[in-house]
Formats: sequence, C-alpha cells, structure tokens
Amino acid sequence: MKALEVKNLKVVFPTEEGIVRAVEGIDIEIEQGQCAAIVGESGCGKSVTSLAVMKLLSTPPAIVRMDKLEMNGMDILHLTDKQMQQVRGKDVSMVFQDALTALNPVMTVGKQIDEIFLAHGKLNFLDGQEGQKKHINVRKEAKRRTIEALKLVGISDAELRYKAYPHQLSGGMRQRVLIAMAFACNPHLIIADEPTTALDVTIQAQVLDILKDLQKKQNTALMLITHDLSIVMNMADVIYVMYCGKIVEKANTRELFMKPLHPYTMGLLGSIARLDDKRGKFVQIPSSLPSPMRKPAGCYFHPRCTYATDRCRQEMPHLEELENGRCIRCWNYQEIQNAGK
Amino acid sequence: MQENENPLLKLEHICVTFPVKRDYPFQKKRFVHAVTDVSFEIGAGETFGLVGESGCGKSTLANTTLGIQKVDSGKIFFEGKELTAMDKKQLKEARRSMQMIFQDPFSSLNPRFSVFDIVSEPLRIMGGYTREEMREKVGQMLHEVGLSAGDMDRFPSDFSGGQKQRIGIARALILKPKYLVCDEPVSALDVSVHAQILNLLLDLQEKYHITYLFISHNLAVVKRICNRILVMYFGKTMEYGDVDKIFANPMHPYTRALMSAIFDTDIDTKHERIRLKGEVPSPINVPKGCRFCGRCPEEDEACRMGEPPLVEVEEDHYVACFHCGKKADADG
Repeated sequence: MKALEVKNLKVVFPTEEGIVRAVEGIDIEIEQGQCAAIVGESGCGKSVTSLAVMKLLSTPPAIVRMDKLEMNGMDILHLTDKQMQQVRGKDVSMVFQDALTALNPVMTVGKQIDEIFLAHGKLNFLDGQEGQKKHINVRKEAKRRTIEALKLVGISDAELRYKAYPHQLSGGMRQRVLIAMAFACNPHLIIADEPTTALDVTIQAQVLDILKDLQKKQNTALMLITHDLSIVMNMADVIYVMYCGKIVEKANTRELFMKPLHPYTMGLLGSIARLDDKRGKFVQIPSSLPSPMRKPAGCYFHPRCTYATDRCRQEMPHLEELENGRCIRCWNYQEIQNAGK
Repeated sequence: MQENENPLLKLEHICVTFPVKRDYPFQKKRFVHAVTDVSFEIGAGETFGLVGESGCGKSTLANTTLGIQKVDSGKIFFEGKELTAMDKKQLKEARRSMQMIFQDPFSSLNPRFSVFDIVSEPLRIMGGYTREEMREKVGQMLHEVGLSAGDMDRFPSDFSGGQKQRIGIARALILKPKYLVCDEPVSALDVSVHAQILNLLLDLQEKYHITYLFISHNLAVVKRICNRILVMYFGKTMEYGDVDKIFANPMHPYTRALMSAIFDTDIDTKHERIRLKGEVPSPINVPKGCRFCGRCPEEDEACRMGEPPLVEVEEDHYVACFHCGKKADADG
C-alpha cells in the first residue's frame, strides 16, 4: 500500500494578467516509510503541490484537478472539508517553513500541541491493567503526551517549554515544536515544506537529524520539499526534480547524485558550493525561471539549457520512463550523457 | 596575503554591548555582550570572511566597521584614519567609500521607490549630480550588474529575488566604494541563484578592486571566495587567519563542527559529522571560561575555569582553544 498516490495533479490560478499554470500534471507515489524529496527553484510549483495534496488550497481562486489522490489506500479526493479536517493532523500532517508564522503567537506552544491530541487523540480512555478501561482526565492526558512529544524532538526542560510562547523560543526550537506537532498522532505521511531554510547550518543539521530519526522510528512516509539538493542527499530515498510545474527528472537519490540526466539537475548539483572546491568562479545556471504566465514554447528549460536543439524549442518532451522507476523529461539526455564521456 | 603594512581596515579590541531593559524597577543593569575583544585587519583588495551562527555578533561587528554601530571600547582605523573618533561630518565623507549589501533583498528595497530612485539614492545623499548625470550613471550601473537600463523605471515587485539582490548591489556600487560589507548576500536566495550572485560579486571585485567583508554561515562559500577568515562564536574570535591554512588544519572544535555541517554532494565519501549539542546560549549571562563550553565535544575542567587566549599556532593562523596545542602535538 502506498502512503501517497497522486495522479495527474493540475493546479491553475486565473489572474487578471493571465492564467498561471502552477502545476501541470504531475504524478507522485510515496511508499510506506519512504522519504521522497521534491526539489526545485522557488516558483516551480513545489509548495502548491504540497498544499494541493493537503487540500489546503482555497478554491477559488485556485482550480485544482487530479485523477487520483489516495493516502494509505484511502480515497482523499472525494472527502468533504469536514471529513478532511479529521484526516489532517491524524493521517497526514505538515511541517511549515517559517515556524514563527506557523505557530500561534498568543498561545503557549504546549496548548497548541495539546489541541492535536484533543482533536484526534482518543484520550477518553486509557487501557489499564488487565484490559480494564479507566476514565482519565482528558486535558491532563493531553499535556502528558505533549510533554512526551516535546522530549521526543530533543527539547530540554519540556515541562518548562510547555508554558513558553513561540517568541520565547529560538528558531531551531520552534522548528522542533512544529515537528513534534506533525508527529503527534503518528500520521502515515508528513509533508515538510522547506523545514530548515530559515535556520543556521548547525541547527539545520540538528533539525534534519530529528526529522529523519522520527521518520525511521515511526515508519512514516515523508515528503520533503526543498530548493537545496544538498540537504536531501542524506534524507531522501527518491527525488523528484520540478521545473515550471512539471517533473523533469525522477530518480533514486543515489542514481541522481551519481549520474544526473537532465541538464537542469546537473545545473542544480553544480551550483552547490562544496568544501573541496578550488577558489574561484561558481558554476551557474544562466538567467532565471520564466514567468509562469509566459512559459516558453517547447521544453520549458530550453532558454537556459546549453544543450538546446531546434526540437527542444518546438516540442515539449514527454516524461520518459527508464529502468528502476527512473523518469526523465529531455529529448537529448542520451546525447548529453555520451558527450559527457 | 600576509599581515599588511597598510591595511584598509583595522579593528583593535572592539567591544560592543547593548543594555537590556529592566524586568522590574531597580533591577541591576544587564548587558548583551554582542562583541567582546575582537581585533582583525583587512588588506586592500582582499575578501575577508566573517563566519558564525546567527546571534554571534557578526552583523554588529560589520556595522561597527561602517560607523553605524558605536563601539564601547576599541579603535577602528579606515585607511589609517580613526573611524571611532570622527564626528558626523567626517563620517559621512568616509562613508562615501564604504557600502553595504543586505541579506534580504525583499525587505531592503523600498517597494514604493522605482529602481532609479533606489539606485540613485546614494548619489542624491552625497549631492552634486544633475538628474541626467544620475540617469546615465544608474543606467551604466544596472548594465554592469546584469540588468538593463530599461529596468530603471520599474518597481522592485517586478523583479525576482536574484534580480532584487542585483539592484541592491547596484545601489551599493554606484559611488564606487573601496569597501563593501556583504551581510549574507545569498542566504535568502535559491541555491541556483547563489552562484550567479557570487560570480557577479567576484567579477565586480576584479574590475573595481573592492575590498569585501563577507558575512556568511556557509563555510563552503567562504572557502571559495575569501582570502582570510574570522570564525566567531558568541561575540568572540575562535579562529582567525588565512583561509587555506584554516581549512587545511582547522584547530578549533567549533570550526570543525561548522565544516562538518556542510552537506556533501559526493554520495560515496561518508564523512564523520560532528554534531553540536544545544544552541547558542544567551549572551546576557556570559558563562565563565571558554564561551564554547556546553556545546564543545572536547571540553574539560580547564575550559570551564578560564577563557583561552588567542594564540598564533602557525603564521597567520590564530586559535583560541586550550586543546589546539595538544591536538597539534598529537598530530605531528
């Protein structure tokens, strides 16, 4: 059973200046306990994808279409908003990018985590000894579990932090609170949208470790959304590279890093600064992402691609499937590979 | 680059503290110790890297070099003249040759100013230019940073993050400064745009011989573009000197931890990652002893008792750690 299966997801925003096709038909499959990363520049539609999967995009203005949306074999696509509220937080949850805006500033972090247990946790009974069910104090039980959850993400003095407001915590600590929240009800799937971009390198490493540990421990599927390929190497099993609302390459992490096929992926990998680099210029992808309203004809990447041919300028390549579940959207990937040798 | 006879910028024992608001009346006055006893020199044409986590005092230190932040004690010399003793008028004149680019291009450009207004603002402040001269200069500058002169009358909201940062760079360079502070110029941008902006900075440096003070927490970037670096933790110098020497032989545990926090993209080399416990402590109650205590994997009793002095371990390589001497002995 797959933790997440999305077929042919399309998201469109009609605006006054024109129609923005944010996501143009993408398929995502995540196995139970797997970590899949979606990588791309800002504006490529990766966050919109995650919001569409959570059914958090407000429609209108957005128009969301997909053929299939299943989580753990359960059909999500046809759930009403009310039913969806029961699913979010319990079966699927999300870690947002900016912890300060994701948390409620006038509520202690403890109370905010309590809410999840109160909403989904089935706290009314606790299995006592010999299978006897015992009535317990719901709020007390929620607090106990919250403190446990805070300890799980490595927050020291969890009892003390329970009473803290978000502004009293440091950035790394706030991000941990969000992670504790996401894992609170042992969901099948967690979507983490740029969970560490607002953090320092050392704290980033800590937070990613926690995320990975918890994911492995609870066998949760994780969908990691980021623009930084370097952080997914140790996290993800599968990587989807997105460009202008389309998936341009999909591969196992190892294969992608060993042998990137799409010129865009190569550019992304090349632009990461590495410790063993010599001093001097960086490899760069020329120019920037085209406006989502004026996407170029043919392959969307061709204006920035050094290997572009006439065919690329006219025809959009299909997502070609290779062995091992690897996919590539490029006319010339074989020639590029051969030229590289 | 060795110790310069004529450094462009020289800082001597800089200390900066900020008073903390009292929680209740008659509470003892408390201070945030942002920068404590930091000294360094930047030679002309050099790129000097300032490395550390957020909250360690990097930005405060950079501000003092521009005369924006008053120092509590210590002296700053810019081109041999004492910046810390200047009055307002002299400072304004000195600032003509020093500029800054900021971390977040989304908030450092006034959304109601056109690109021309933004880039020409330094010219207007310094005065003495006609509008035509300004338009010409701005056009040239925009071209130089990879935009076109036609972008002059558009507004910041029309541009992407990378382009906004280019506008910020154009604004900083319009007065042809000698010294430029780059406060995390790429950390708010996409990884794919990092390379573009950094290459632009390198090109401009080559062309105009600008001296950069480059603030960053990404050591991989720092290694690639800086000549000398200073690793700061919690307001103090941890390691300081030539970039190649520090990277070849990082002595301070904090430097090593920062280096191991960089994600490698080479999937086959599994490098040992040093994980730091905890986070930067509160700068109000500075603990006795080495400031890195509590997070350091190598701390012992001596570290908790006294602060390690900054010692020269080899030429142009200074470290403040009790253990670095032992480490060097063990290695060699």
